[in-house]
Amino acid sequence: MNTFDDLIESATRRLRPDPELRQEVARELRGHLEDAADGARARGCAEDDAQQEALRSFGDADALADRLWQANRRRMRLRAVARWAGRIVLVPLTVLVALWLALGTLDFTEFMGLCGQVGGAAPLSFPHYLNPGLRDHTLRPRAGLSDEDRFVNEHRTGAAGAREIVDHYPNNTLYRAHRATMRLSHPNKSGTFSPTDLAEVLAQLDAGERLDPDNAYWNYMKAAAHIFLSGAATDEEDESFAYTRRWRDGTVKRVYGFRLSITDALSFEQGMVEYRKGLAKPRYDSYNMTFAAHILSLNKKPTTLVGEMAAVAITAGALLPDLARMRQLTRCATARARQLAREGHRDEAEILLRTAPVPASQMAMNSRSLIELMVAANMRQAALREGAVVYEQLGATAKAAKCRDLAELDQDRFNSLFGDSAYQRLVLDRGAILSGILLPGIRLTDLAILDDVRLAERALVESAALGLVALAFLAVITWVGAAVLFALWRHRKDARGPRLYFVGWRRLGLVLVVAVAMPLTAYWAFTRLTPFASVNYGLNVTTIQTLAEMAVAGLTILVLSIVVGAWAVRARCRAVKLDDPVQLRQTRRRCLIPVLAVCMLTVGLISHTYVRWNEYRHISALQQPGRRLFLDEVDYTSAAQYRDYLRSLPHHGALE
Amino acid sequence: MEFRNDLVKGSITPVILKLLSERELYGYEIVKVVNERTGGALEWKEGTLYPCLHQLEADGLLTAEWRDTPSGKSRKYYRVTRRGRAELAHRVREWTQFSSAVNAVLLGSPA
Repeated sequence: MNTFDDLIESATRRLRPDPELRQEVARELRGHLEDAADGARARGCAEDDAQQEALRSFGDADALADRLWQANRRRMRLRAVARWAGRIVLVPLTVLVALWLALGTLDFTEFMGLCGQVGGAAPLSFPHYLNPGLRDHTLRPRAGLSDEDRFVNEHRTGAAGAREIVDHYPNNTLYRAHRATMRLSHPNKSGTFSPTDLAEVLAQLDAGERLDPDNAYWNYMKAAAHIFLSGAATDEEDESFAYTRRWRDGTVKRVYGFRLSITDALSFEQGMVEYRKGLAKPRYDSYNMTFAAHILSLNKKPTTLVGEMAAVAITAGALLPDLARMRQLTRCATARARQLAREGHRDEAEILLRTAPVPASQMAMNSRSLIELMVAANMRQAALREGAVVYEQLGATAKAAKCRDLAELDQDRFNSLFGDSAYQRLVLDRGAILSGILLPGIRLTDLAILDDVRLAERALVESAALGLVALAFLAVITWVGAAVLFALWRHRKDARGPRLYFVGWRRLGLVLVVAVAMPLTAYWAFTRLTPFASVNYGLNVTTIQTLAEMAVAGLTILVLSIVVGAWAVRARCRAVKLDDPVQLRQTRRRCLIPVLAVCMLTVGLISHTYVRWNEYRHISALQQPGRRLFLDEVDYTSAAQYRDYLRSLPHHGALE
Repeated sequence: MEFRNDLVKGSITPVILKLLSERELYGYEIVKVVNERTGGALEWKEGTLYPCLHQLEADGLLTAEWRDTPSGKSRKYYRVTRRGRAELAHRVREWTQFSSAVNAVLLGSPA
């Protein structure tokens, strides 16, 4: 044993709680003693005498132990806290945070489900625009819902239960309308619509009409049911009949008429009878907005972007099916007029043409949401433009000109909406975005700025994909932790002795800057500032692109964390002269865990904060009154002016 | 002549700061330089140097770095920080005034 060992052991004994510091101090003291002994030897002392002189001039070990402890205790305490955090708090905290973020993958699953339903070819189903499992997670029903509320909210009472509830409240028009439209959307399990189904739908609608006789809604829905059975409710275009439409941006496009192919003439005629009854009614109210508001009131206010999208989807799901039926009715009526004109029934054809704008006007006059208004405007434009062409074919040029003039006037009125700067800023630029994403078939280019759409889509995907990144980090830290535990177990005898616990604040800071801050900044700059990301939009593109970019960013962060973290450990080892190869390997690996944990924790928290902030921007835009384009009350927007214009037209907008 | 302990203790910090303000040194070198300059008059117990260095390092007056010497040994070199230089200036002023005051009493020289 070295002569100095006893003194060094004794002088550093109070530093035992911090093995790394103790080793460093011991190394320093030993260097001094060896130098002192060398000096004595140089002066001609014998070997033993030289060592004894070095020890003598060094002083009392006990007093030195106390003074070394006093000088280093503050540093030891700080490092003890860092070590404690590293051992007890940091790694478990990272695992917990990663798990918590990984729960976002549930959102991701729902989100993909939502995309599948929104972007897919499947028609919108009402009210199950979202499947029940999906809805349960994204929108949470309030506690203590009654059977009636659940009938409205979830449709889980089954067909028999639903009928009982409707029968139990015979005067509730909302339940009647809901039941009827649900049956229309979901005829039966095989997807067909039998005469028995028709009988039940008609019974509900008849009952509704008795309760609310001035509302054209019941008649139009009956007409839609009959026409559905007649086989005419396809969505084919008639390429032999084309007309032109002028869009908001001034472009003129060629549009085809609707091909009418009736397989059951009687049903079609019954449908037209109800259609004509509807034309005579003073108003149209679909109950859809009331119904959507009622569904949303039964659920807690959404707190995530996916939840908000679900709420938008539910509202859209409540509105769109009836809007689609109304649009189809108008198209059938004009197509029938063309057919009659071709067959020489000029008077009947003219009646249909004259009244074709009426359902659209009825809808628009009482519209309570912008989307109803926009669909109605679209229907009215189509009816007028198509009417002009048919009148021309019939030789009624004056009527054709009148149709065209009305269509132009109507289009100008409608376009003037978009010149309103407050409306543009509040509704179009922000509020439209998610609604636009959710409503395929709406001409998004007319409504919103693409960059904003892309950013909103990205916010949505980033929010979901963060969970996946967290899962990857969780896997890595578990793997590294397990590898270290295994190494410790294998080399348990070597595991004693000096250990390195902390790489130092400066090195840790450098690791965070290089491995976390720089890649995150690069990701942000790439996605927000460079033109690469703004080429395309649409959830299918954005999802894949964002996932790929996040994967690259996550992988870069991971590799840099390991590489720069290992550098920091090596630098620390060099700085304190820990150079025993076996110890060093053990120590480095063990030391890398807290460094990785700090990196991942930082990445997780920064990304989470950013993603939530980004979500919050879009959610707050959507949740403000009047800003949720399509789905909010028309009164909040300048669209009310267009509605008032339609209200001022005589004869419900029919041609005189 | 052997100095009293409290006198030696009080002088260690300014002496260390002064020497390190001139150049970087490791512990044993500091002792050697002190002995050279004082002709061995300041007989430190060499071990007491290290708590003092560590304390100054913890107070941010010194920084330290391990470096290898050409002989292959590694030494912990200390150098004065900016704060350390300010502290040295303060200590020198303090020492000058203190010694003048003590001299005025003990030797009758003007303070």
